[in-house]
Amino acid sequence: MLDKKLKWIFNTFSGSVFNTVISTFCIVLLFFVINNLLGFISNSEWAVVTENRRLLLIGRMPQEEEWRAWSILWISSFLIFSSLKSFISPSKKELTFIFLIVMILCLIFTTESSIFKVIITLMISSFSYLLTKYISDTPIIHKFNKFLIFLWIFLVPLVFCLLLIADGPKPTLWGGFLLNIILASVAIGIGFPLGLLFALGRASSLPAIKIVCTVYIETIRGAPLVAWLLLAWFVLPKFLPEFWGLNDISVVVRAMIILSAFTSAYTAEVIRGGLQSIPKGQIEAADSLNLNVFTKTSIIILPQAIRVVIPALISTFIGVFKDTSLVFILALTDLLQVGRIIPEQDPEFFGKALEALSVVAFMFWIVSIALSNLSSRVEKSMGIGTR
Amino acid sequence: MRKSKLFLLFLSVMSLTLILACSSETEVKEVVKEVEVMIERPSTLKTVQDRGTLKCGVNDNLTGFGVLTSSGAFEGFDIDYCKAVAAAIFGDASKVEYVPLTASARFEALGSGEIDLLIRNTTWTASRDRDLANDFTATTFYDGQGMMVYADSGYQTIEDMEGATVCVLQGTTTELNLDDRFMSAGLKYTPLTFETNDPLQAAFEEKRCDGWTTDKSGLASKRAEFPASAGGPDSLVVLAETLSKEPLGPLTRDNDSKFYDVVQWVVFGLIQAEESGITSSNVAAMAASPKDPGMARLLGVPYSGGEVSDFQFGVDPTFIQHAIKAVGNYGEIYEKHLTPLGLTRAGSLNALWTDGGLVYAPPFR
Repeated sequence: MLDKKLKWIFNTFSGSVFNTVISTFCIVLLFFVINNLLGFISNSEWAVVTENRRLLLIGRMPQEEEWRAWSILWISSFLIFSSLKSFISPSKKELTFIFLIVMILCLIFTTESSIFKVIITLMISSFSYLLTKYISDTPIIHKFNKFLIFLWIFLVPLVFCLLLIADGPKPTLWGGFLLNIILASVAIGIGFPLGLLFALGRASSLPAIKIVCTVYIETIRGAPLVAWLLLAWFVLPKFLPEFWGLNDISVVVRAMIILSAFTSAYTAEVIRGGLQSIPKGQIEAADSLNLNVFTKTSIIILPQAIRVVIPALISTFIGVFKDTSLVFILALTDLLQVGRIIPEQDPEFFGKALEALSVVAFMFWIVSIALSNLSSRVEKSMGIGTR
Repeated sequence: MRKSKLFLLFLSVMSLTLILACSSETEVKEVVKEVEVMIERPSTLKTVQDRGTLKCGVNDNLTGFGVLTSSGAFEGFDIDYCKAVAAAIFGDASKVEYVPLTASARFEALGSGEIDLLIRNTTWTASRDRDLANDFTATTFYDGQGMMVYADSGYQTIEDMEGATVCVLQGTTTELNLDDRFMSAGLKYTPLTFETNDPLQAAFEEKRCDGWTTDKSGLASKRAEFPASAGGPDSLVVLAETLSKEPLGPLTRDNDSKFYDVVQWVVFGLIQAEESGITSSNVAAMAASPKDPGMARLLGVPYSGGEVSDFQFGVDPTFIQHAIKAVGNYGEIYEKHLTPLGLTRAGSLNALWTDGGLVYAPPFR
């Protein structure tokens, strides 16, 4: 083992002149980057971030409504960490990585007043991980897994309940990281099934359905998201009927509608790519078994089509998540907008944009990296690229 | 077969011509309809009263005028005017829904009815007053565009700045004024534009630009807090010249006089309050025993057993009293938000007219 490592080091540094030059150059570069990064972290004044922790996480939600955010955090940390063990079972390396990220998050966002609640969160996380590990060999695990999947499906409605029950704050007050997560979840949760339907519709042989789906997809994809968002803000209310106060719906709902429509158009095209990759023989075989259209689509075509496009789908979802930061145009205070405005809060924060924005970037990075890791996991378990 | 197709084509061409011919008439009808809608549209004052909250379009990243504080509340000079109007209408300054707007979306938001009132450091200009669907009420702050340079650059006036690079915010009147000034002086310059202030400051600190132009109020606060690592406040000078007039104030929608009047007279009321020496702390005492009939009219209380003079603004006659209680008089608002930024009031355009400034209220009578 040690011998192998020594050999590797020897090879990288003195295998050939070219290797030596490249390796030395990279190490010097790495040294400077890390040195400057550490210098930036230690020399900067992080007050601009630490003073605004709440704004970054939940935006303009009033302090007395904080419990809603905490309960959402607790439920999701239970879900995330039990699913982590149950469905992903990470290696030691990955666990260390997750631990590191959680620690950095705690370091950034713990305040004196919230330390107790942060400890509860950490306890819930580790407890749910250990519990799942403990029962993973018992027969209960199957029921538990079903329960987890059920909870995942109903997580978004549950979050809405928690935000709205008992006279919750107006949706326009939702903000920060919470808003990005909510918008992205809704956009993906509604956009993906819709996109599936549109993809099937566009591949359909019925001209009416085909034309409607094609027009929808091309219209939505034909204009930038910013334009759609502005349209939703200023024009959509004029098209909606007045009953039930539909023409006065919250901008958050309007943003959700537009983001879902946008996601559905993009996923539809991705899935259509998958549909086209299915060999004709598969469909003919299904036909020869006399399967009806519904069964043929749901058990022969879609499972194969989606399997192929998982990398592209996940990258669309990551894109959607990052696109949610555009809602600042609709007067919503999302994570990126908070990062942009907090340096102007007080003269003592002037010129501290880099500190604020690097924390924002880190938050976006965590979600994106988690999603892409999830996608590579799913790919591996489905044997994509090997089969 | 062929003939019938030709006939169809003929028919469609005819109908198209007819439609085109009629369109001018329909246009007239549409205009008439629009005017009718305009007449029928209920006053924003009534909409606001029915809704129970005032939707106020504000800035969330201009220090002193409007920022989002760490507790999630809005704070600043402009924000206090939102509070004052809400207090005047409802007697409660907390009944405001703040809508943070970008510079480019603000007029659309007002025009489309997403907000009732726009108080977002908006400069009153002729084209904005004419083109956009809004009316400017009284000015709350007289600003002017200035130019800040490094003291060691040797620039004394704009004329010295031949070939200079100037940092400026995108899409603002500031950018246009800058161009006007340099063009008329026949000077070459390179504008370096930014969306927000912070990257602009970073560029200025790295000396990527020689000058930084924005409203003088902004320059004063940026200079006062200029980091010592980049030279500190003393390394900078704001040139004496004012490039343009920038009167800032609240905006309402066009043809909305009832609401417009309320907003305008709240602004005037707070100015008159300062002139009469009424503050947030003594307003209750003054209302109980007004010093003179003018003060009684301002506060909506009877003077020595006389009648209450109600100006029929559609709000409570004591509306100015509520506004003063909520945010204080003009001087108090200024002291609270702008003095800490290093914006001295004495001797500036924003001093009371009795002190040589431009801040003046028409009589309450």
